[in-house]
Amino acid sequence: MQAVDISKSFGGVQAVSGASIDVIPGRITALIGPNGAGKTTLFNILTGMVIPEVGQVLVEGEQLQGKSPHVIARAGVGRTFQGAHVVTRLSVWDNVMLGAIENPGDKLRGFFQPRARKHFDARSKGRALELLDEVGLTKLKDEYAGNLSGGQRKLLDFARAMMAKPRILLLDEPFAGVNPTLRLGLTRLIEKLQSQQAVTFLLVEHDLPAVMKMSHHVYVMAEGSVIYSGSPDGVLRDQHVVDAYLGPRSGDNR
Amino acid sequence: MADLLVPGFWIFVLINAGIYTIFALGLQLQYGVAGLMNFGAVALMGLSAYTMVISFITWNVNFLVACLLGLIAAALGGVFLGLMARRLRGDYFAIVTIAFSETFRYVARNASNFTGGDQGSLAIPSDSVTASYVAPWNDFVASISTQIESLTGFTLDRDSVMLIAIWSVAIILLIVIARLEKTPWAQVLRASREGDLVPQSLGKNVGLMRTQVLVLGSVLGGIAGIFFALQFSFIQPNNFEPLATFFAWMIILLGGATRVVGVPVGALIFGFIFAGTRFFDFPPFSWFDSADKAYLRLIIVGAILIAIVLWRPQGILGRRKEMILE
Amino acid sequence: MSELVQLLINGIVTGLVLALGAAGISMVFGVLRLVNFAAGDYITISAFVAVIANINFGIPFWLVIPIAALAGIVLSLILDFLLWRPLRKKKAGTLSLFLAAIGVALILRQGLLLFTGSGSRSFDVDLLTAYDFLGARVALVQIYVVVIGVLAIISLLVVMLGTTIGRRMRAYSDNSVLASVSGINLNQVVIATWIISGALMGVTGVMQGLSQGSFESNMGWALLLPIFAAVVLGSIGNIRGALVGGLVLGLVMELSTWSVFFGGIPGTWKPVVAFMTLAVVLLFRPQGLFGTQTRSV
Repeated sequence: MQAVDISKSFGGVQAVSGASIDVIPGRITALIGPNGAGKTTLFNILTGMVIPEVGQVLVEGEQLQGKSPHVIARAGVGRTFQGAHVVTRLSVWDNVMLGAIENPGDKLRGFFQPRARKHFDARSKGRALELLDEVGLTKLKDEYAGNLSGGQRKLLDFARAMMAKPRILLLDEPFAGVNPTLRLGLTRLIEKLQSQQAVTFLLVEHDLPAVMKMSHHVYVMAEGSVIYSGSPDGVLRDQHVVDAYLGPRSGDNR
Repeated sequence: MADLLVPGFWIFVLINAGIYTIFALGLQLQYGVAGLMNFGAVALMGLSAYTMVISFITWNVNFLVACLLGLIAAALGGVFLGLMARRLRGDYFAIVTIAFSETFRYVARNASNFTGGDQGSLAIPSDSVTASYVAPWNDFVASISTQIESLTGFTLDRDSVMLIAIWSVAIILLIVIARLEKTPWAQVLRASREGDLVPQSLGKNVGLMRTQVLVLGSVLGGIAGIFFALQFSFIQPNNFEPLATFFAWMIILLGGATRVVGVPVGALIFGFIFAGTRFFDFPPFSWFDSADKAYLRLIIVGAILIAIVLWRPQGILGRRKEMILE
Repeated sequence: MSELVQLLINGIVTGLVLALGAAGISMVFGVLRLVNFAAGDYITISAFVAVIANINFGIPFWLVIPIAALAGIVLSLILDFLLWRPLRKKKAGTLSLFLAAIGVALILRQGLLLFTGSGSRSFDVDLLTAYDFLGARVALVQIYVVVIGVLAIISLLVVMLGTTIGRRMRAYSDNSVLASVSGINLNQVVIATWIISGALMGVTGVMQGLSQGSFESNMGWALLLPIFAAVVLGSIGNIRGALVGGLVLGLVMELSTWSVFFGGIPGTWKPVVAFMTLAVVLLFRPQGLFGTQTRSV
């Protein structure tokens, strides 16, 4: 996925200006930056929630900027939610099954295609069970999602997003408010999916240490622009990045 | 209380319950599955009925085609509501649907050249002195009656045939909709009650699906509208006032909003309560004359509505856990 | 020109009635999250209490205005205690409250019919006197309505903007979580809301009764939908918006009959005009004229 020269302003405030990002297939890319840097806006543009004024979003050559979120999702862009939105009135199992994207039963005309639906269901069930197993929620599969703890919801969010077999998975602050054990579990999960199934990841995150360890490439944004693009090691040594996070002239002894 | 035993009356009650079953089924689909607060549903019934009647009387369209036109009109109404639902939050949508419903009624009352105005379908301009649309239906009923009579020896009057027709259609619709509510399509709509973000992120076109639900629900209302027109041989704007929508809401709540099987249960209970109060001779009913009893009936309806909301929002057949009233 | 003046006058009269009704309903929603479908019947009942006091008990007209306000207040408080409070305890949602309000509306209206019968009432005021003004005829009752309306709006603004309780109500309406955390006594705010909105409903009832000349038990209900249109137009929960929405709709409704517009839309279509206006505005601003763009479903 590439974001090319994206700009967006809200009511006179320039949230993102001229930002470009190139997500490497099969690798974990991170997008970090201090508050107000424009990461969230860029993320929203990538997922279709916001329409950019300038610029393009490309997935394998296909232009997706400005398209509806559901069209973007169908193009293979999956996402998780910072608040781990689960559908509370449905069971864990139903939540995961919701993720199946090419389900003929999703469309109204699917009502008239019972065989196609059965066929699809049989295939999806297997995948759903695998994913639940992967995140460790198999035992809870019949529980109402509303009864899950915050951490379990994050895992469910993950499994559900993976169900759609996305070409790229965008993670919205996956480590926000997450305890160390869960953080470890999530990190392992992401790394495993990336290495074993070549899933492409783009993480938007605040939590620097976690991100540094697992990413292959890091983009840093500040005040709407991308100020660093490179390996994780170089991030903390880059003066622009330090300035952005700590304020200019930090480290100067005056 | 002896009047209670006249079968003709109870057939009449059952016919009304049948009409309401189909009407409320549409509402159950819209609310129980998709969470849409449509409080203007009766307008779709009226749109369909008036379109059918006007097509037949004014434009001399073939009767079956007129019925089809009625359903198409209802479907278009549903499309309009779908457009509204895409843009408006829940409570605004509810208010706009009521406005839509009353707008329809106002148009029916005032566009007398088309609709006959307050005098109803009798005053629709036509070749004969009083306009009527039931002749084809009556002929159909007569032919069915004669056939059944020759086969079984039973004489069926008009009401009885209507009863069988309505409930046959109702049962078929109940089965079909019950099946529909088990599909992933319905599941996505249920999920969308908690917000559009999640389903959209999973590739579901929620706006389109909502419109589909509204169109389906409206067509069901349209079917009910046509049966209504046929049963009473005459329609007028006040047949389609918001109170009818409120009755339908009460029916789906009574039966349990999330379950299709709750709809006929609610409709039958409602029908019997509503009709039955006509006959109660004991206090406090005996204190009122029949004109006042009409007021009392509606007071009881209001009280039941409040009671359901307060004490049993899941209705008779719903499950507490799925307590859905938002 | 004189037709325009006439319609403007009529529009202001209608607008004031709608504005006050809308303010009361918006206020209740803002604080209580209740779309009070029964408010139309609060209006009717208050008007009936006033007219009975006026006609059957001979109380002079100006005195029945506070009586109507009082009736609205009492009715509001009783219903809050009997119904809205228990529902709040159960954390009933928007739909539950809406349905309960419908139930209340049914009970109130049919109850009123049961006790007073159908049949129209009028206040004991001079309905016939009218004055010439810029080529139009201003009825005495219209002047009364404008006077009452303006006084009511001024009082409302004074209370909402100038008093502590008004500020607390607005704080609660804007952000209930923050407000309760900062120690605002919810009970006090709720009661104040019902008192103010109850009084508004009562005054609205009198104004409409005056402006119509004679009225029946469905007066409030017939008003309710244009009032709701005004509330949504002004963005629900926003009292200033409600006032503006009411005035705008009143003017639009009356001006729509202006013969300049292809002979003018016939008067019976006025409510339809109100709804169409609402629909058109919502098409471009789904959050109403004053709302913030929250895309909640």
